[in-house]
Amino acid sequence: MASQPRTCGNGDCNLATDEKCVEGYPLEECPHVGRISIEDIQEVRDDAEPTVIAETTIQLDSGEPLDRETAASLQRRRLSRAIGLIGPNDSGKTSLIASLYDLFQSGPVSGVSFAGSNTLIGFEKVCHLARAVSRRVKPHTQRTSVGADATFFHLDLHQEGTARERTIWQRPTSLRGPTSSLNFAEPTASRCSSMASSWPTVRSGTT
Amino acid sequence: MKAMTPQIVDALVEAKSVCEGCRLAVVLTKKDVVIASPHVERVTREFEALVAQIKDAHSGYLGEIRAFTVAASPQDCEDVARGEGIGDLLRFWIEVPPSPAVEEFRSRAAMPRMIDRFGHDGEGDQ
Repeated sequence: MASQPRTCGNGDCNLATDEKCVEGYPLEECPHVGRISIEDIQEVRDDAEPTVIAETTIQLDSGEPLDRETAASLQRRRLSRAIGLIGPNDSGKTSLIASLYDLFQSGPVSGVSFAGSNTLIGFEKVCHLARAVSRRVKPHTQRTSVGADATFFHLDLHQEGTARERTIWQRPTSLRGPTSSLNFAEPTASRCSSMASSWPTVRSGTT
Repeated sequence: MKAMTPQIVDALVEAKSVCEGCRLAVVLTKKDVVIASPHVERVTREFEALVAQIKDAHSGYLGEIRAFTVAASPQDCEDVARGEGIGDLLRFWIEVPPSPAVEEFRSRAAMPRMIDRFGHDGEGDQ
């Protein structure tokens, strides 16, 4: 086995070729023998792109009522229908949604079964005050703020013998009074027009 | 509320906020309160009149208009069950609407000369 040529840290020394120390030291005493010269160190090339390790992530729904964009996105994925609940303040629109969700807890309603929802937490919040667990003496439904931005509840429903149905309820829109009902063309009607233009079917329920 | 509800529908239709042919459920909520009140007949009569008024005004634009009575969250009333009437309303919401009748579309725009139009769809055939 051939011996490796000895190296010297002094750049002027030719130890590798003539095996003599340029400073005249005996090889055993030279402090530079065996060290790596600065010229022997290769420059690190940093032009290469850093390796990015792809992480597999999934996005879970928050369960809260949907905003307009999210509801529209959800509707584009599958044929669905939108239902708007419109009525005066304190006419029972939120109670109606809460009651429907509560009825599904007990089983099918008129032959229609619950098949999923992206807004379960939203449903639970509107139902909470009507349940015994809230420790209220009387069932209650929290009022929806007048003028709040439109939000949407989502339900997937299943009927015997039919495909799954996707339904979106617009969160109740409250109107203050007869005068405001004429003004609502600005905040409320503009919302409804965007619904009508982007969704295939809009159904309105008036309470 | 008796005056307000038709106004709401009027405004929705006038602003074209609902599509032509949309189906409308007019819902009398809080049935428990109605039953407990001494004016049940009057409330029922006025609600029916209100629905008739909406039908008269908007049957041509809207699709089916139907009346419902629900008790979503009855309080202090044992005569109605919680959620009474909601099932019927749900069935109405998810019913498949009837398909619109579509007439065959015949375009004549590509034939500007009257003579070219003879011989098509029977017009001018002698």
